[in-house]
Amino acid sequence: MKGLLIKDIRLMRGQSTILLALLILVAVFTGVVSDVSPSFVVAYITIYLSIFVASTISYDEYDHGYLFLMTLPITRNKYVNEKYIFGILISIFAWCVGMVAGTALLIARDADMAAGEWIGSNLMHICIAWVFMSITMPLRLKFDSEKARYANIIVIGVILAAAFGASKLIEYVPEHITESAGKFFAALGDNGIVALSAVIAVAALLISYICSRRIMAKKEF
Amino acid sequence: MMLEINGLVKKYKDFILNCTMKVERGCITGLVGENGAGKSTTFKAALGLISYDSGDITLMGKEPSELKEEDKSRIGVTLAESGFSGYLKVKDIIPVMSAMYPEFDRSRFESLCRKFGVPQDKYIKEFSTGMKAKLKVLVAVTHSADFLLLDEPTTGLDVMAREGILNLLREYMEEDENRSILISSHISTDLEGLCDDLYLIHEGQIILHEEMDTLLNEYGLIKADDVQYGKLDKEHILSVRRTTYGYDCLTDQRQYYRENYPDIVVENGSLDEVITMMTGGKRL
Repeated sequence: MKGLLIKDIRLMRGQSTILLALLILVAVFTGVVSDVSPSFVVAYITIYLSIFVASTISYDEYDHGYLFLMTLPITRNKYVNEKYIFGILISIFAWCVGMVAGTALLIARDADMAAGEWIGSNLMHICIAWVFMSITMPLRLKFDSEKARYANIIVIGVILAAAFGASKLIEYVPEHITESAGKFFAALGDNGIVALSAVIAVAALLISYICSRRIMAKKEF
Repeated sequence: MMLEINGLVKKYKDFILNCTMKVERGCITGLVGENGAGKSTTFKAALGLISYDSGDITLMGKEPSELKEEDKSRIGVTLAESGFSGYLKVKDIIPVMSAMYPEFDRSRFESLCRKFGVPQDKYIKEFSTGMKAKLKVLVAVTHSADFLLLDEPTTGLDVMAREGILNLLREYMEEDENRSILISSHISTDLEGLCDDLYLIHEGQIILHEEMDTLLNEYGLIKADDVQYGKLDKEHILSVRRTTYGYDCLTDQRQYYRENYPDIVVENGSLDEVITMMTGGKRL
Protein backbone atom coordinates (compact mmCIF):
# COMPACT_ATOMS: atom_id res chain seq x y z
CA MET A 1 0.00 0.00 0.00
CA LYS A 2 2.75 2.44 0.98
CA GLY A 3 4.58 1.66 -2.25
CA LEU A 4 1.48 2.36 -4.33
CA LEU A 5 0.88 5.63 -2.53
CA ILE A 6 4.47 6.69 -3.17
CA LYS A 7 4.01 5.76 -6.83
CA ASP A 8 0.83 7.80 -7.18
CA ILE A 9 2.23 10.79 -5.33
CA ARG A 10 5.30 10.69 -7.59
CA LEU A 11 3.13 10.30 -10.69
CA MET A 12 0.97 13.19 -9.66
CA ARG A 13 3.92 15.33 -8.63
CA GLY A 14 5.47 14.81 -12.02
CA GLN A 15 2.30 15.49 -13.94
CA SER A 16 0.21 17.85 -11.90
CA THR A 17 2.53 20.50 -10.49
CA ILE A 18 1.90 22.61 -13.56
CA LEU A 19 -1.80 21.74 -13.47
CA LEU A 20 -2.07 22.85 -9.84
CA ALA A 21 -0.16 26.08 -10.46
CA LEU A 22 -2.39 26.77 -13.45
CA LEU A 23 -5.54 26.04 -11.46
CA ILE A 24 -4.56 28.45 -8.69
CA LEU A 25 -3.60 31.09 -11.23
CA VAL A 26 -6.84 30.75 -13.19
CA ALA A 27 -8.95 30.62 -10.04
CA VAL A 28 -7.36 33.66 -8.42
CA PHE A 29 -7.33 35.55 -11.71
CA THR A 30 -11.05 34.89 -12.22
CA GLY A 31 -11.60 35.93 -8.63
CA VAL A 32 -9.73 39.20 -9.12
CA VAL A 33 -11.06 40.30 -12.52
CA SER A 34 -14.62 39.04 -12.12
CA ASP A 35 -16.94 39.10 -9.16
CA VAL A 36 -17.16 35.32 -8.63
CA SER A 37 -17.25 34.45 -4.97
CA PRO A 38 -14.06 33.26 -3.26
CA SER A 39 -16.01 30.11 -2.49
CA PHE A 40 -16.07 29.35 -6.22
CA VAL A 41 -12.26 29.36 -6.22
CA VAL A 42 -12.23 26.72 -3.47
CA ALA A 43 -14.81 24.58 -5.31
CA TYR A 44 -12.95 24.90 -8.60
CA ILE A 45 -9.57 23.75 -7.26
CA THR A 46 -10.98 20.99 -5.01
CA ILE A 47 -13.25 19.38 -7.59
CA TYR A 48 -10.89 19.72 -10.55
CA LEU A 49 -7.93 18.16 -8.76
CA SER A 50 -10.06 15.37 -7.29
CA ILE A 51 -11.25 14.36 -10.75
CA PHE A 52 -7.59 14.09 -11.68
CA VAL A 53 -7.21 11.20 -9.19
CA ALA A 54 -9.04 8.79 -11.50
CA SER A 55 -6.61 9.71 -14.24
CA THR A 56 -3.71 8.21 -12.23
CA ILE A 57 -5.35 4.94 -13.31
CA SER A 58 -4.58 6.01 -16.89
CA TYR A 59 -0.94 6.44 -15.93
CA ASP A 60 -0.98 2.94 -14.45
CA GLU A 61 -2.49 1.65 -17.65
CA TYR A 62 -0.12 3.44 -20.02
CA ASP A 63 1.86 0.97 -22.16
CA HIS A 64 0.08 -2.06 -20.60
CA GLY A 65 1.55 -1.01 -17.23
CA TYR A 66 -1.36 -2.54 -15.32
CA LEU A 67 -0.13 -6.00 -16.12
CA PHE A 68 3.25 -5.44 -14.51
CA LEU A 69 1.78 -3.51 -11.59
CA MET A 70 -0.30 -6.53 -10.65
CA THR A 71 2.80 -8.74 -10.47
CA LEU A 72 4.21 -6.51 -7.71
CA PRO A 73 3.50 -7.43 -4.06
CA ILE A 74 -0.01 -6.02 -4.07
CA THR A 75 -3.44 -7.60 -4.34
CA ARG A 76 -6.38 -6.38 -6.41
CA ASN A 77 -8.21 -5.30 -3.24
CA LYS A 78 -5.19 -3.40 -1.95
CA TYR A 79 -4.97 -1.58 -5.27
CA VAL A 80 -8.57 -0.38 -4.92
CA ASN A 81 -8.02 0.54 -1.25
CA GLU A 82 -5.03 2.63 -2.20
CA LYS A 83 -6.85 4.49 -4.98
CA TYR A 84 -9.62 5.57 -2.62
CA ILE A 85 -7.25 6.54 0.18
CA PHE A 86 -5.14 8.46 -2.32
CA GLY A 87 -8.29 10.14 -3.69
CA ILE A 88 -9.46 11.21 -0.25
CA LEU A 89 -6.00 12.52 0.64
CA ILE A 90 -5.76 14.47 -2.61
CA SER A 91 -9.23 15.98 -2.22
CA ILE A 92 -8.30 17.16 1.29
CA PHE A 93 -4.99 18.53 0.02
CA ALA A 94 -6.73 20.28 -2.91
CA TRP A 95 -9.32 21.71 -0.54
CA CYS A 96 -6.60 23.12 1.70
CA VAL A 97 -4.89 24.70 -1.31
CA GLY A 98 -8.24 26.05 -2.50
CA MET A 99 -8.97 27.42 0.97
CA VAL A 100 -5.65 29.27 1.07
CA ALA A 101 -6.35 30.79 -2.36
CA GLY A 102 -10.00 31.56 -1.51
CA THR A 103 -9.15 33.04 1.89
CA ALA A 104 -6.48 35.23 0.31
CA LEU A 105 -9.11 36.51 -2.12
CA LEU A 106 -11.58 37.05 0.71
CA ILE A 107 -9.07 39.10 2.65
CA ALA A 108 -8.08 41.05 -0.48
CA ARG A 109 -11.73 41.96 -0.99
CA ASP A 110 -12.02 42.97 2.61
CA ALA A 111 -15.17 40.89 2.89
CA ASP A 112 -16.90 40.49 6.18
CA MET A 113 -17.49 36.83 6.97
CA ALA A 114 -17.31 34.73 10.08
CA ALA A 115 -14.55 32.11 9.96
CA GLY A 116 -16.94 29.31 10.94
CA GLU A 117 -19.41 30.20 8.22
CA TRP A 118 -16.62 30.46 5.62
CA ILE A 119 -15.08 27.09 6.45
CA GLY A 120 -18.44 25.39 6.89
CA SER A 121 -19.83 26.51 3.55
CA ASN A 122 -16.66 25.38 1.78
CA LEU A 123 -16.73 21.92 3.38
CA MET A 124 -19.57 21.24 0.95
CA HIS A 125 -17.05 21.24 -1.89
CA ILE A 126 -15.17 18.25 -0.49
CA CYS A 127 -18.48 16.41 -0.37
CA ILE A 128 -19.15 17.26 -4.02
CA ALA A 129 -15.60 16.19 -4.95
CA TRP A 130 -16.17 12.84 -3.21
CA VAL A 131 -19.42 12.29 -5.09
CA PHE A 132 -17.61 13.02 -8.37
CA MET A 133 -14.84 10.64 -7.36
CA SER A 134 -17.40 7.97 -6.49
CA ILE A 135 -18.68 8.13 -10.05
CA THR A 136 -15.40 8.41 -11.96
CA MET A 137 -13.39 5.77 -10.08
CA PRO A 138 -15.41 2.58 -10.80
CA LEU A 139 -16.06 3.73 -14.36
CA ARG A 140 -12.36 4.27 -14.90
CA LEU A 141 -11.57 0.81 -13.49
CA LYS A 142 -14.23 -0.83 -15.61
CA PHE A 143 -13.50 0.82 -18.95
CA ASP A 144 -10.34 1.92 -20.74
CA SER A 145 -9.64 5.66 -20.76
CA GLU A 146 -11.51 6.42 -23.99
CA LYS A 147 -14.69 4.55 -23.03
CA ALA A 148 -14.50 5.84 -19.44
CA ARG A 149 -14.55 9.41 -20.73
CA TYR A 150 -17.82 8.78 -22.58
CA ALA A 151 -19.21 6.82 -19.63
CA ASN A 152 -18.41 9.79 -17.33
CA ILE A 153 -20.19 12.21 -19.64
CA ILE A 154 -23.21 9.93 -19.86
CA VAL A 155 -23.43 9.35 -16.10
CA ILE A 156 -23.03 13.05 -15.27
CA GLY A 157 -25.58 13.85 -17.99
CA VAL A 158 -28.02 11.38 -16.48
CA ILE A 159 -27.53 12.89 -13.02
CA LEU A 160 -28.12 16.42 -14.32
CA ALA A 161 -31.18 15.27 -16.25
CA ALA A 162 -32.48 13.51 -13.15
CA ALA A 163 -31.89 16.65 -11.07
CA PHE A 164 -33.67 18.75 -13.69
CA GLY A 165 -36.51 16.24 -13.89
CA ALA A 166 -36.81 16.19 -10.10
CA SER A 167 -36.94 20.00 -9.95
CA LYS A 168 -39.76 19.93 -12.53
CA LEU A 169 -41.57 17.10 -10.82
CA ILE A 170 -41.51 18.91 -7.52
CA GLU A 171 -44.14 21.32 -8.92
CA TYR A 172 -46.61 18.46 -8.98
CA VAL A 173 -45.81 17.27 -5.47
CA PRO A 174 -48.62 18.20 -3.03
CA GLU A 175 -47.84 21.37 -1.14
CA HIS A 176 -47.98 19.88 2.33
CA ILE A 177 -45.08 17.52 1.42
CA THR A 178 -42.82 20.25 0.00
CA GLU A 179 -43.66 22.42 2.96
CA SER A 180 -42.68 19.78 5.48
CA ALA A 181 -39.50 19.08 3.49
CA GLY A 182 -38.70 22.80 3.56
CA LYS A 183 -39.26 22.81 7.30
CA PHE A 184 -37.03 19.78 7.68
CA PHE A 185 -34.12 21.50 5.91
CA ALA A 186 -34.74 24.74 7.76
CA ALA A 187 -34.67 22.81 11.02
CA LEU A 188 -31.39 21.18 10.04
CA GLY A 189 -29.67 24.56 9.76
CA ASP A 190 -26.43 25.20 7.92
CA ASN A 191 -24.44 22.77 10.03
CA GLY A 192 -27.07 20.11 9.63
CA ILE A 193 -27.02 20.46 5.86
CA VAL A 194 -23.22 20.17 5.78
CA ALA A 195 -23.49 17.07 7.97
CA LEU A 196 -26.17 15.59 5.72
CA SER A 197 -24.01 16.25 2.64
CA ALA A 198 -21.08 14.57 4.35
CA VAL A 199 -23.22 11.52 5.08
CA ILE A 200 -24.36 11.38 1.44
CA ALA A 201 -20.77 11.79 0.15
CA VAL A 202 -19.43 9.07 2.45
CA ALA A 203 -22.28 6.75 1.46
CA ALA A 204 -21.52 7.41 -2.23
CA LEU A 205 -17.84 6.64 -1.60
CA LEU A 206 -18.71 3.42 0.19
CA ILE A 207 -21.01 2.18 -2.57
CA SER A 208 -18.46 3.22 -5.19
CA TYR A 209 -15.70 1.43 -3.27
CA ILE A 210 -17.68 -1.82 -3.11
CA CYS A 211 -18.41 -1.60 -6.86
CA SER A 212 -14.73 -0.92 -7.62
CA ARG A 213 -13.60 -3.95 -5.62
CA ARG A 214 -16.00 -6.16 -7.55
CA ILE A 215 -14.91 -4.73 -10.89
CA MET A 216 -11.25 -5.21 -10.00
CA ALA A 217 -11.79 -8.79 -8.80
CA LYS A 218 -13.18 -9.75 -12.20
CA LYS A 219 -10.71 -7.78 -14.31
CA GLU A 220 -8.64 -9.67 -16.91
CA PHE A 221 -5.22 -8.18 -17.59
CA MET B 1 8.52 -27.41 -7.08
CA MET B 2 8.36 -23.71 -7.96
CA LEU B 3 5.67 -23.84 -10.61
CA GLU B 4 3.40 -26.61 -11.71
CA ILE B 5 0.86 -26.21 -14.50
CA ASN B 6 -1.42 -29.18 -15.14
CA GLY B 7 -3.79 -29.25 -18.09
CA LEU B 8 -4.19 -25.49 -18.25
CA VAL B 9 -6.76 -24.51 -20.86
CA LYS B 10 -7.44 -20.92 -21.79
CA LYS B 11 -9.78 -20.26 -24.69
CA TYR B 12 -9.84 -17.08 -26.71
CA LYS B 13 -11.96 -16.42 -29.79
CA ASP B 14 -9.33 -17.66 -32.24
CA PHE B 15 -6.78 -19.31 -29.97
CA ILE B 16 -6.70 -22.11 -27.41
CA LEU B 17 -3.84 -22.56 -24.97
CA ASN B 18 -3.35 -26.07 -23.67
CA CYS B 19 -0.34 -26.26 -21.40
CA THR B 20 1.24 -28.65 -18.91
CA MET B 21 4.67 -27.84 -17.56
CA LYS B 22 6.70 -27.48 -14.40
CA VAL B 23 9.68 -25.58 -13.07
CA GLU B 24 11.76 -27.44 -10.48
CA ARG B 25 13.62 -25.82 -7.60
CA GLY B 26 17.19 -24.93 -8.57
CA CYS B 27 16.45 -25.06 -12.30
CA ILE B 28 16.32 -22.64 -15.17
CA THR B 29 13.49 -23.68 -17.44
CA GLY B 30 13.07 -22.18 -20.88
CA LEU B 31 9.85 -21.65 -22.77
CA VAL B 32 10.43 -21.11 -26.44
CA GLY B 33 8.06 -20.52 -29.31
CA GLU B 34 7.22 -18.03 -32.03
CA ASN B 35 5.23 -14.85 -31.39
CA GLY B 36 1.63 -15.67 -30.60
CA ALA B 37 2.41 -19.27 -29.60
CA GLY B 38 1.04 -18.77 -26.09
CA LYS B 39 4.13 -17.89 -24.02
CA SER B 40 2.76 -14.65 -22.58
CA THR B 41 -0.65 -16.20 -21.93
CA THR B 42 1.07 -18.96 -19.93
CA PHE B 43 2.91 -16.33 -17.87
CA LYS B 44 -0.26 -14.33 -17.28
CA ALA B 45 -2.17 -17.42 -16.15
CA ALA B 46 0.66 -18.50 -13.84
CA LEU B 47 0.68 -15.05 -12.25
CA GLY B 48 -3.09 -14.90 -11.79
CA LEU B 49 -3.54 -12.01 -14.20
CA ILE B 50 -6.13 -13.83 -16.28
CA SER B 51 -8.77 -16.43 -15.50
CA TYR B 52 -8.60 -19.82 -17.20
CA ASP B 53 -11.15 -22.34 -18.36
CA SER B 54 -9.71 -25.46 -16.73
CA GLY B 55 -6.56 -26.95 -15.26
CA ASP B 56 -4.52 -26.40 -12.10
CA ILE B 57 -1.69 -24.02 -11.46
CA THR B 58 0.44 -23.91 -8.32
CA LEU B 59 3.01 -21.15 -7.97
CA MET B 60 5.26 -21.71 -4.95
CA GLY B 61 2.65 -24.04 -3.49
CA LYS B 62 -0.39 -21.80 -3.96
CA GLU B 63 -3.00 -21.14 -6.59
CA PRO B 64 -2.23 -17.83 -8.34
CA SER B 65 -5.42 -16.19 -7.03
CA GLU B 66 -4.42 -17.08 -3.46
CA LEU B 67 -1.02 -15.37 -3.61
CA LYS B 68 -0.57 -12.82 -0.85
CA GLU B 69 1.70 -9.80 -0.85
CA GLU B 70 4.46 -11.67 0.98
CA ASP B 71 4.33 -14.46 -1.62
CA LYS B 72 4.53 -11.97 -4.46
CA SER B 73 7.50 -10.23 -2.85
CA ARG B 74 9.38 -13.52 -3.30
CA ILE B 75 8.99 -13.53 -7.07
CA GLY B 76 10.54 -11.27 -9.70
CA VAL B 77 8.69 -10.74 -12.95
CA THR B 78 9.39 -9.18 -16.32
CA LEU B 79 6.63 -9.13 -18.91
CA ALA B 80 7.10 -8.74 -22.64
CA GLU B 81 5.12 -5.57 -23.18
CA SER B 82 4.67 -4.16 -19.73
CA GLY B 83 6.66 -2.42 -17.04
CA PHE B 84 6.54 0.52 -14.65
CA SER B 85 4.48 3.44 -15.93
CA GLY B 86 6.31 5.52 -18.53
CA TYR B 87 5.41 8.62 -16.54
CA LEU B 88 7.82 7.60 -13.77
CA LYS B 89 11.59 7.96 -13.60
CA VAL B 90 13.98 5.37 -12.15
CA LYS B 91 14.54 7.65 -9.16
CA ASP B 92 10.75 7.48 -8.55
CA ILE B 93 10.79 3.70 -8.71
CA ILE B 94 13.47 3.30 -6.03
CA PRO B 95 11.31 4.42 -3.05
CA VAL B 96 8.39 2.39 -4.47
CA MET B 97 10.57 -0.74 -4.59
CA SER B 98 11.94 -0.06 -1.08
CA ALA B 99 8.40 0.18 0.27
CA MET B 100 7.15 -2.91 -1.53
CA TYR B 101 10.04 -5.36 -1.18
CA PRO B 102 11.49 -5.90 2.30
CA GLU B 103 14.74 -7.18 0.79
CA PHE B 104 15.19 -4.63 -1.98
CA ASP B 105 18.92 -3.90 -2.34
CA ARG B 106 18.90 -0.25 -3.26
CA SER B 107 22.66 0.24 -3.61
CA ARG B 108 22.99 -2.83 -5.83
CA PHE B 109 20.11 -1.66 -7.99
CA GLU B 110 21.67 1.77 -8.37
CA SER B 111 25.09 0.39 -9.20
CA LEU B 112 23.59 -2.02 -11.76
CA CYS B 113 21.69 0.89 -13.34
CA ARG B 114 24.99 2.73 -13.73
CA LYS B 115 26.73 -0.40 -15.05
CA PHE B 116 24.03 -1.07 -17.66
CA GLY B 117 23.60 2.58 -18.63
CA VAL B 118 20.04 2.95 -17.33
CA PRO B 119 19.48 6.66 -16.63
CA GLN B 120 17.86 7.51 -13.30
CA ASP B 121 16.56 10.98 -14.09
CA LYS B 122 14.65 10.40 -17.30
CA TYR B 123 11.03 9.42 -17.88
CA ILE B 124 10.77 5.72 -18.74
CA LYS B 125 8.57 6.56 -21.74
CA GLU B 126 11.62 8.27 -23.23
CA PHE B 127 13.78 5.13 -22.79
CA SER B 128 14.94 3.06 -25.76
CA THR B 129 13.59 -0.50 -26.04
CA GLY B 130 16.92 -1.82 -24.77
CA MET B 131 16.97 0.49 -21.73
CA LYS B 132 13.43 -0.55 -20.80
CA ALA B 133 14.36 -4.24 -21.12
CA LYS B 134 17.43 -3.79 -18.90
CA LEU B 135 15.47 -1.87 -16.27
CA LYS B 136 12.86 -4.63 -16.04
CA VAL B 137 15.49 -7.29 -15.37
CA LEU B 138 17.33 -5.11 -12.84
CA VAL B 139 14.08 -4.58 -10.94
CA ALA B 140 13.42 -8.34 -10.94
CA VAL B 141 16.85 -9.46 -9.67
CA THR B 142 17.50 -6.95 -6.90
CA HIS B 143 15.00 -7.94 -4.22
CA SER B 144 16.23 -11.45 -3.37
CA ALA B 145 13.35 -13.23 -5.09
CA ASP B 146 13.23 -17.02 -4.92
CA PHE B 147 11.74 -17.36 -8.37
CA LEU B 148 12.04 -15.26 -11.52
CA LEU B 149 9.42 -15.39 -14.25
CA LEU B 150 10.93 -13.62 -17.22
CA ASP B 151 8.88 -13.23 -20.38
CA GLU B 152 11.15 -12.19 -23.27
CA PRO B 153 13.67 -10.38 -21.06
CA THR B 154 16.28 -9.95 -23.78
CA THR B 155 14.07 -8.56 -26.55
CA GLY B 156 15.48 -5.35 -27.99
CA LEU B 157 18.92 -5.79 -26.46
CA ASP B 158 22.14 -5.70 -28.46
CA VAL B 159 24.57 -8.63 -28.20
CA MET B 160 26.70 -7.07 -25.46
CA ALA B 161 23.77 -6.05 -23.30
CA ARG B 162 22.19 -9.46 -23.79
CA GLU B 163 25.31 -11.21 -22.58
CA GLY B 164 25.42 -8.85 -19.58
CA ILE B 165 21.84 -9.65 -18.65
CA LEU B 166 22.36 -13.41 -19.08
CA ASN B 167 25.41 -13.22 -16.82
CA LEU B 168 23.32 -11.39 -14.26
CA LEU B 169 20.85 -14.28 -14.32
CA ARG B 170 23.68 -16.81 -13.89
CA GLU B 171 24.96 -14.82 -10.88
CA TYR B 172 21.44 -14.75 -9.48
CA MET B 173 21.30 -18.56 -9.63
CA GLU B 174 24.76 -19.00 -8.14
CA GLU B 175 23.83 -16.94 -5.07
CA ASP B 176 21.33 -19.55 -3.88
CA GLU B 177 20.92 -23.07 -5.19
CA ASN B 178 17.21 -23.17 -4.35
CA ARG B 179 16.32 -20.38 -6.74
CA SER B 180 14.59 -20.99 -10.06
CA ILE B 181 13.94 -19.14 -13.29
CA LEU B 182 11.28 -19.57 -15.94
CA ILE B 183 12.43 -17.68 -19.00
CA SER B 184 10.84 -17.30 -22.41
CA SER B 185 12.55 -16.09 -25.52
CA HIS B 186 12.43 -16.38 -29.24
CA ILE B 187 16.20 -15.93 -29.38
CA SER B 188 17.28 -19.54 -28.99
CA THR B 189 20.98 -18.89 -28.40
CA ASP B 190 20.03 -17.08 -25.19
CA LEU B 191 18.37 -20.21 -23.88
CA GLU B 192 20.97 -22.69 -25.16
CA GLY B 193 23.66 -21.49 -22.82
CA LEU B 194 21.41 -20.84 -19.87
CA CYS B 195 18.61 -23.35 -19.42
CA ASP B 196 18.56 -26.77 -17.76
CA ASP B 197 15.44 -27.84 -19.58
CA LEU B 198 13.21 -26.46 -22.25
CA TYR B 199 9.59 -26.47 -23.36
CA LEU B 200 8.66 -25.73 -26.95
CA ILE B 201 5.23 -24.22 -27.42
CA HIS B 202 3.52 -24.03 -30.79
CA GLU B 203 -0.01 -22.80 -31.56
CA GLY B 204 -0.94 -23.05 -27.89
CA GLN B 205 0.35 -26.61 -27.40
CA ILE B 206 3.53 -27.83 -25.71
CA ILE B 207 5.08 -29.95 -28.45
CA LEU B 208 8.43 -30.75 -26.85
CA HIS B 209 9.97 -30.94 -23.39
CA GLU B 210 13.60 -31.89 -23.11
CA GLU B 211 16.70 -31.47 -20.96
CA MET B 212 18.99 -28.95 -22.63
CA ASP B 213 22.00 -31.32 -22.43
CA THR B 214 20.03 -34.07 -24.17
CA LEU B 215 18.89 -31.63 -26.79
CA LEU B 216 22.39 -30.48 -27.61
CA ASN B 217 24.16 -33.84 -27.24
CA GLU B 218 21.67 -36.35 -28.58
CA TYR B 219 19.47 -34.52 -31.07
CA GLY B 220 20.66 -34.35 -34.66
CA LEU B 221 19.60 -33.37 -38.13
CA ILE B 222 19.74 -36.10 -40.77
CA LYS B 223 20.14 -34.90 -44.34
CA ALA B 224 19.01 -37.67 -46.66
CA ASP B 225 18.22 -37.88 -50.38
CA ASP B 226 15.07 -39.64 -51.57
CA VAL B 227 16.67 -43.11 -51.74
CA GLN B 228 18.41 -42.79 -48.38
CA TYR B 229 15.21 -41.52 -46.81
CA GLY B 230 13.32 -44.57 -48.14
CA LYS B 231 15.73 -46.93 -46.40
CA LEU B 232 15.89 -44.93 -43.16
CA ASP B 233 14.61 -46.47 -39.93
CA LYS B 234 11.89 -43.98 -38.85
CA GLU B 235 11.76 -45.28 -35.27
CA HIS B 236 13.70 -42.34 -33.79
CA ILE B 237 12.67 -39.63 -36.23
CA LEU B 238 10.66 -36.83 -34.61
CA SER B 239 9.97 -34.62 -37.57
CA VAL B 240 10.57 -34.52 -41.33
CA ARG B 241 10.78 -31.66 -43.80
CA ARG B 242 10.99 -31.85 -47.60
CA THR B 243 13.98 -30.00 -49.06
CA THR B 244 15.39 -29.46 -52.57
CA TYR B 245 17.80 -32.40 -52.22
CA GLY B 246 15.52 -34.79 -50.34
CA TYR B 247 14.59 -34.70 -46.65
CA ASP B 248 15.74 -33.12 -43.39
CA CYS B 249 14.90 -35.38 -40.47
CA LEU B 250 15.11 -34.42 -36.79
CA THR B 251 16.16 -37.24 -34.48
CA ASP B 252 16.71 -37.55 -30.75
CA GLN B 253 19.17 -40.43 -31.31
CA ARG B 254 21.82 -39.05 -33.65
CA GLN B 255 24.45 -41.55 -32.52
CA TYR B 256 22.20 -44.42 -33.64
CA TYR B 257 21.97 -43.01 -37.17
CA ARG B 258 25.66 -42.11 -37.33
CA GLU B 259 26.56 -45.71 -36.45
CA ASN B 260 23.99 -47.42 -38.67
CA TYR B 261 24.02 -45.08 -41.66
CA PRO B 262 27.66 -43.99 -42.07
CA ASP B 263 27.00 -42.66 -45.59
CA ILE B 264 24.28 -40.21 -44.45
CA VAL B 265 25.15 -36.77 -43.08
CA VAL B 266 23.97 -36.36 -39.46
CA GLU B 267 24.57 -32.85 -38.13
CA ASN B 268 24.62 -31.93 -34.44
CA GLY B 269 21.36 -30.46 -33.29
CA SER B 270 21.03 -26.83 -32.37
CA LEU B 271 18.05 -25.32 -30.66
CA ASP B 272 17.23 -23.33 -33.78
CA GLU B 273 17.11 -26.50 -35.87
CA VAL B 274 14.96 -28.27 -33.31
CA ILE B 275 12.49 -25.37 -33.23
CA THR B 276 12.34 -25.03 -37.01
CA MET B 277 11.89 -28.76 -37.52
CA MET B 278 9.33 -29.23 -34.76
CA THR B 279 7.22 -26.24 -35.75
CA GLY B 280 7.76 -26.23 -39.53
CA GLY B 281 8.28 -29.91 -40.34
CA LYS B 282 5.82 -32.79 -40.41
CA ARG B 283 5.84 -34.40 -36.99
CA LEU B 284 5.92 -38.22 -37.08
